[in-house]
Parts: sequence; structure tokens; C-alpha cells
Amino acid sequence: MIDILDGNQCAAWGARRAKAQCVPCFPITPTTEIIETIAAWKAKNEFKGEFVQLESEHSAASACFGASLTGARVFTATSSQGLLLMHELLPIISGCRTPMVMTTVSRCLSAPIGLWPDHNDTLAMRDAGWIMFICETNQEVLDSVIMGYKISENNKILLPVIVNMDGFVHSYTRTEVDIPEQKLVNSFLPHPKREIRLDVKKPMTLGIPAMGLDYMKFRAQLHRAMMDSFDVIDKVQKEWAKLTKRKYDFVEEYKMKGAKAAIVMIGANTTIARAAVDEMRKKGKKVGLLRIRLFRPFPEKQIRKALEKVKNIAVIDQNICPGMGGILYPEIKMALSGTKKTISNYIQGLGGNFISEKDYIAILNDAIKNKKEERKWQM
Amino acid sequence: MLSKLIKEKNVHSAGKKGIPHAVEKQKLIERKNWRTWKPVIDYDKCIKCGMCWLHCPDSAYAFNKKGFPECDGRVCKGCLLCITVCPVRCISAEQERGLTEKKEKEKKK
Amino acid sequence: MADVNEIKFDIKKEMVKDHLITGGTFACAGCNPVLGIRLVLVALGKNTIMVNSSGCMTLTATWPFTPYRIPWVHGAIENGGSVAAGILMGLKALKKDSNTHVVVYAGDGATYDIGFQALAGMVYRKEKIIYICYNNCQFANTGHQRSSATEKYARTSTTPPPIGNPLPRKNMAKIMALCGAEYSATASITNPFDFIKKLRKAATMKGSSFIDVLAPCEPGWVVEPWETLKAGNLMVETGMWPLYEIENKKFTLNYKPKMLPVVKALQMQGRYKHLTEQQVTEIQRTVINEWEMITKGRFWEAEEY
Repeated sequence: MIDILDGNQCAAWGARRAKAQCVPCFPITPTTEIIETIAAWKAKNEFKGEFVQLESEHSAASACFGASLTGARVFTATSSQGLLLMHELLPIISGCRTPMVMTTVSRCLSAPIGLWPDHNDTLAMRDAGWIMFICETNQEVLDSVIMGYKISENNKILLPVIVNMDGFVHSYTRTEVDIPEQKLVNSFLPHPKREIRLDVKKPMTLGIPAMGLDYMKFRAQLHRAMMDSFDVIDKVQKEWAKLTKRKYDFVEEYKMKGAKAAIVMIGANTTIARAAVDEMRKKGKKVGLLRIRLFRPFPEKQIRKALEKVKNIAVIDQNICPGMGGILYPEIKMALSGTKKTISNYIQGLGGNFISEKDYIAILNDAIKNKKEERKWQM
Repeated sequence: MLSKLIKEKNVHSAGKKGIPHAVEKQKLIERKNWRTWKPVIDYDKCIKCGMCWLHCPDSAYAFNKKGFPECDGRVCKGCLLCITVCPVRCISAEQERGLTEKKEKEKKK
Repeated sequence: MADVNEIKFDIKKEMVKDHLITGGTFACAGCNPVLGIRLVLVALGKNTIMVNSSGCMTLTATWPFTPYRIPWVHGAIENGGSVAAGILMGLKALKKDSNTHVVVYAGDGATYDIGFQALAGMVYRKEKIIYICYNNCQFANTGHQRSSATEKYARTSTTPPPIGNPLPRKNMAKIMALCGAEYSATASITNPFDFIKKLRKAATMKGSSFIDVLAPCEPGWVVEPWETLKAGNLMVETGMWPLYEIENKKFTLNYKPKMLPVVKALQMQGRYKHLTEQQVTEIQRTVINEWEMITKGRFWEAEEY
């Protein structure tokens, strides 16, 4: 079914098609439309799951934790300060290995308070033990939510998933979206029975304290599950591609063939950067673009392979770690450690500061010439 | 590297699928070395009212076939709350033998 | 519904059943909060899912050992109410909620202070959850700091003598009744039959229930292990801890204490050792005043009870 939807509606459709059973939530701009859409469906009985608005994001995340422990399929959405309020619960949810999907709509952090997108909120959660997808289009948001459940509920993985989109740029911008048919999603996404859950017939103690070496063993297994999820994600993405002909990968290469300089980035602004790459290619300059879609677990191998032949790399960070620089930059450097490449860092678009095609052209022109690593701000 | 470490350290022993959970297997952790006193029941006086059973924080009391309460020495921590709640005062405290023996030995020295 | 004293509880019937919480926990000898869990499980049976807020009771289970024979989960300290709400939501979605009690067992710090929001939200939404606060009048697990359940002039590690805690305690049962709890009550571990009957009554409610149960903490109150029940009992008998219930905003006093002089209860507890005569008189005066309020139909005007 082809429709014209904005990002928020896409996330809601993802939850509806995946037949989410519990939606505990709390409103925050720019995610509010997600829960409003689900509430409207619930009122018309088009959405069959339980829908409850709680008193804070912290409580919403707690309710997600509780609901997922019973074995139900859980969906929620939040953004910015709300995500930070949830932060305490995120490692608990992943540590107890409770699968769920959360849509985070990126919005800059306070203070000063702003409404527009940058990735500081979502990237702050990178150590929480959640699988993280950072999307570029509305269609990708919808598909990732559905695929997210399949990855999350895999019995080997049992980890929660974040599907991130950019506030306003995705969340309130309408584009053409193909909503997969319910039958197709049903066959793609069965609801596997969870062995370890809260059930009066099979009493279990969950969220149990563990001390010393035991704690470290549990953490090692969490890390292990995260690393194992690469295979599962790959399999799920290929299965989805077969069904819908929409291919997704850990990283997305754009015109990387023979490229000597490349932009590495995440998020919605990639679409603008693509146009810049097209422009440059028209002029005969060998430039390309690499978008990282899967941020956690970090696809080191794929990044190294994609950038194997590229000499000059410009890492674009729409986020800032004050006192260090971009958050993505050191990760890319780590992935490429030991290689002789010039890797520069550009901080831009904080708080939704507008970036045009020209800015990317300037970055690419810079990158081609660069012999020294640079760290620049673009305003 | 990690997989080697996981094998060496037997990381998979930490819970099924690495999920921090536990199932009660009737296997008790013994707490008998916590106590210095233990309750002793005088069954001639006992009226089987169950107050010791109800008030025991460590679930040490269970009833035998004759309906009399018995204190499980493995888990009793010797708090002696049962003595204070017994309506007929049929429970008395006895110092742990291990402890008295130790003291006697020390005295002899 | 009828008076709580009319609810039947036959101890002989319960005595033959297995314990739903076993021994071998890390709790201190004579720990009343653990006893509280036992009483809850005696009252509600095995169809109970228990949510725990961080505190001493979290450490009753430590991997791989667990004393629980019921489903039990620990989330964090401030979210007992909302984790329970999530569990109830999940059970509803899976259509398993009809015969299961969802119970929160949280300390007074996690109820009166940090978890107030989650509890108030749960009560506001009228979720069918029984929230039990085991009240030892302090943050016992972290080393006996003041909570808003700490009584006036009591010593804690953050309100040291000579003054002790300068503030009176909050009256949580009353607050919860006003927040919309269908059933709100105070109880004491020292009156287990009253507590169990209140739990059974709460289980029949359609909305939220809140039970604030006094559970002395032996290192916190500085009493001997075998004195905990006596210390709690004296709190009830001196009138410092009234036992009442509020059902749909209708107040009923469940127990008439002997009204012993408060000094008897205070003398016993090490945390009141520093009190001057003047302070004792003030506490006594407050108790007399408050009791006059609640026995003469002015319960909603009473400040502390």
C-alpha cells in the first residue's frame, strides 16, 4: 500500500504492522505524533494492543520493561530529554535481555533548549547495550521497526532495539512510503515464545543481583550477544529484501567506486550530501559517501572494507562531545586504525542548523586536498 | 579473543542465555553459622497454634506429620522471634553447642 | 465492603502449605521486612507476581540463589509502581490478568521519596495493583538515612543527635487515598492477622490498593533481633502508629491501642536514646492530639496520621 506519510506515522505503522501488544508512552516534541496516531487507532479499535500514557518517560520505560518481561511485544517512542530521563532504565532493559523496539526521534539536548535535530541524544545511549539503527528515510524507519522486532526477539539475541530518525526532518516531513501488507508482515514476523519470563506457572526470579565475577560474566554475555547479532541482523535484512525488494545493510555505500575522498556520516542529512556527491561526480571528481546505518553493534569490518581504497575521509558529526569533538569521529578512526589515511572531522548541524549542498561540496573539495587531519566546525 | 576468554572463564555458566535470572531449586543456602542461639521446642506444652510458623522471617518452621512445628536448623538464624510470639512459652533458647565447646576449650587453655 | 475484621483467615489451612519464600536469604536475623514478604505470600498465595524496588529486599536473592517460589522481578528503586503497571499491561495483552495479583513490595524510601511519582501515577490510573510499603522509617539499605517516613526527633545517619530529624513524617496512606486509591491502609507486622486480612481485602478491589506496613529494622532502630516485634508492637500500643483503613475515602479505625505512654516505645529503641524530656513530652502531646482528631471524626484534619 503506497501512502504519503511522515516519519512519525511511519513508526506508528511499523508498530501496528508488527502487532505491538503494549505501548506505554509519554509525549515529547517531536515524537508526539507517533503516540497520537496509535491512540487514534486504538480509539477506532484498529490497533489491538494495550495503550497507556504514563506520568513520565522514566515510568514509560519502566512499564516497557515490565510489559516485555511478561512476554508481550512492546513499542514506545521518545526523544531528547525524554530519552535522557529513560537512560537509567536502558541498561536495565538490555541487561535483563528483554526485547522491545523504541523509536527515538533525535532532537538537540537542553540547555539552551531547542527543538531541532542533532544526534547527541541518541548517541549518548550508545553504551546502554541496545542495538541501534540510524535511519535516513521514512521508509527505512518503517522497515527498521518491523525488522527490529525480528532481530530483538531472536532467541540468541534478546536485546532491545532503537530505531532512530531525525526530528522534524523525518518526523514531520511527508514522503512516499510503501506500507507492507499485514499478511506479508505476519509471515515475516512470528511471535516466538520466550522461555524466560514472568509467569505464575513457571516462577522465576528476574532482575536478580549478581556480584563480582558473576556480574562480569553476565556483562560478557551481553557483549557476546551484541557481537552475535551481526549475523542475525544480516539474515533478517536479506529476508526482508527478498520480500519487499528493499535492501538494507550495516553501512550504505554511495558512489564509492574508485572514490579517493569520501564523506562518512549518519542521519537524514545524508540525503543532502548525496546531492553534493552527485554534483562533484558530474565534474569528474572521484568522491563518494558512506552512511552508517547500524551504529551498535559497530560494524568495524564493513567500514574498513568500504573505505579500503579511500585516502581522504571526512567524518561529519551532527553532534558534539564537548572537550573531545565529534562522537562518530573517534569510532571511525578506531575502525581504520593502522591504515595511512587522512581522516578529518567536521562538526555541523547542531540543533538543526541548516546545511546545504554547497557546504558538503566545500567539505569534499577540502577533503580531496587535505594532507593533514583537520577538525573543523561549520556554522 | 573474547570467545577464548568466554571458554576459559566458563562464562556460559552465568545463567541460561546470559539472562540474569534464577529458579528456585529447593536448594537452600545454609545460615546455621550465623546464629549463637537456637530455639528448642518443648513438645509437651506445644498447642500447634502455628504462631512460630507465621512469625519466622526465615521460613524455618514446618509442620511434621503429627502437626508439631519443627525448626529447620539449616536456615534458622537464631533471631528468637519465635520465643517472643509463642502464646504458651514452650520455646526456649539454647546456646549453640559449637560455640559453647569453643568457649570451654578456650577456658581450658 | 465489610470491616476488615470480618474477613476470614484460618491459620490451620495455611500451615499445611509450602513456604513461598524459603530461608537462606541475606537478611539480618529477625528482619521484619522479610517477614512481611512471607505474610504477603501467605495472604495472596502463589498466583502473585512480586515487583521489588531496590533496597534490602533486593538482596534477598543473589544469583544463582533465589528464595522465591513466585515470579519476582527487581527493576530500579523509583519505579516499582510503573514496572508493576507494565506487567499488568503485558498480562492484559496476553489475557492472563484475571487470576494474578501484581504486588509491589517497596521500602519507605522508595515509596515516600524517590518512587512517589511512579506510585502516584499508578494510583491515579486506578491500576489493579497492590502496593505494599514496608516502612522501617528510614533508608535502611544504604545505612539508615532519613526518609520522609522518619518520625520527628528520630536519629538517622543524616539527622544525627542532638536534634535528630526536625521534620514530622508524611502520612502516605492518607495521601494515597486522596490520590485515588480505592483501598488504602496502614498495618503492622506485629499484627499479622490484621495485615493478612487487609491484603486479602485489597486483593478483592478493582482499583489500586496501598498498604503501609510498619516493619522494624533491627540495626536501624538499634534493637536486638528478638525485640523487633516488641518494638513494633509498642509503636502500635502507644498510638504512634495507628492501624486504620480508608476505603473509597471512608475512614475506619481497625484497632484500639492501649495508649501506653510513648516513652515506653521510645526507651526501647536506640535511635531515640538522645531525646530530652522536653522532646518526649512534645511527641506525647502530638500523639494525644492526633488521636483525638482521628477518633472524633476529624481524621482528614490530622497532620501526621
